Amino acid sequence: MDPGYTYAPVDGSGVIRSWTVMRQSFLPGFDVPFVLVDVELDAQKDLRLIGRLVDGPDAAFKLGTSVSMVFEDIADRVSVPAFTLLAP
Amino acid sequence: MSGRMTASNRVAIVGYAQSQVSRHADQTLGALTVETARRAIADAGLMEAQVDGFVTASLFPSAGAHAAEDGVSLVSANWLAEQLRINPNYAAGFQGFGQIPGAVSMAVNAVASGAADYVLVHRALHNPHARYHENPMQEARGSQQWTVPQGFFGPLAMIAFSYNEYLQRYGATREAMAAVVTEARKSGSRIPWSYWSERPLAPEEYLAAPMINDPICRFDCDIPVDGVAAFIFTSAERARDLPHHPVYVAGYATGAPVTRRLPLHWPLDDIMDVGVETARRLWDRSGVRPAEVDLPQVYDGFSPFVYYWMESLGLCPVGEAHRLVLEGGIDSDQPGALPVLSGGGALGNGRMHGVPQMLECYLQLSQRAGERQRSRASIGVACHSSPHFGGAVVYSAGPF
Repeated sequence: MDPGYTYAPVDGSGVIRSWTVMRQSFLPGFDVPFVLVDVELDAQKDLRLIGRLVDGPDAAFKLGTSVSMVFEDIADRVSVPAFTLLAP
Repeated sequence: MSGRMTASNRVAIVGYAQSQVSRHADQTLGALTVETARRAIADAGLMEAQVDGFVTASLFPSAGAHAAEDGVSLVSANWLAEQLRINPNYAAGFQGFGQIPGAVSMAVNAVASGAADYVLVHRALHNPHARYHENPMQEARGSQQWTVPQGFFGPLAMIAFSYNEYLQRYGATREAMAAVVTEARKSGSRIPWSYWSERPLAPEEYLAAPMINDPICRFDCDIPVDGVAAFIFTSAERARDLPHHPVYVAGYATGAPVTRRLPLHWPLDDIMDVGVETARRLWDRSGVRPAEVDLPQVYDGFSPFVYYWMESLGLCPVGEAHRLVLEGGIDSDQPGALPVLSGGGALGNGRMHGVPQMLECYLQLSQRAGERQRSRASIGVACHSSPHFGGAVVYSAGPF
């Protein structure tokens, strides 16, 4: 049966459900440390995405802190979705 | 269909062999597997020609870019049968997660159906030279394009997310996890074939270890090793004529259905929601209640799995495993404690996947644990992998 999936735009806002600080990377090309956040998007319950928190390892946040999406331009025509803390 | 499975207690383990667990064995993995398989067959009191079934789960569990070669970095059932010059009636490999419960379930089914009379289940684990999980990939395709460019890669980051969620939600401490890891290493230090034999870990050493992917440090991870274990399964009827006390398989269950996620994304709620269902099916199919289990052996390839399995199995309420361990509740030397890591697990033996859990159930329930023999060991549970992707087997010292 066709589950009827379609593409739909989301605004990228959400809340932090978990995080980790990557102090060692098993892939080449990543400067450590960096923060990864597990974000539940506001657009749909339990819709979760993982991205870098551009605010870095010293930023203050906790479970449930709100974030919005930003894009990191890492090369010509290559942009990776990431997250930033919403100003309190 | 629900209720106790038809094959419950009709198939038993009748012999075993466990190789030395080392960082790098001085023989190839294939040679070590052949030697270990022959020892297991002899231990069961059988001739090699009597073994007519071979089952394994041959996965080489590295995220790195190492070549996977049969007989070298993994050993398949057919490869082993061929080396033993046996043309088996049944040879198969389990492909999913929870490789040990998966392989055991296939062996039980093969014996119960009459597909084979004596089934050898083996697990061969290899530690390649060079870094275990390091991967030089330059491109990510498919669903990995949503995780790899972000730097989300490798099993340590995978487990870090669910563990941090657990720590934050329930107020757990690293001191509690120190009690888990030191218990595994204490048990492993008493096991002659363990990589960590005679090398327990002090809580201070655990607490002083630097983070790799917060809140995971290296002591939260099992160490990659070369090692092989083999077990012989046959029917309860045939087991009566063999030298050792048989250990019966009362039932098994594997996890599912899981929520579809990005690669390696295992949120805590996914693990626990499915884990509780895995356990419900396990008790239902085996005809055993959690309170009857005196030898629970939880999986610990990453230390947080200990909490997830204890809570999924109902050994303690959800969110409270960390309190229980901090109060000495899993100290296997204390009467009345839950000996969930009495076999040392993966943290106390090396990355033998679910083998240490299964082996502890076999040794204790068959009264073959020697100096480590526990006075009370009648029903064991051997877990492997995560409660939502993996599985568990209930073993019994006697048919019921």
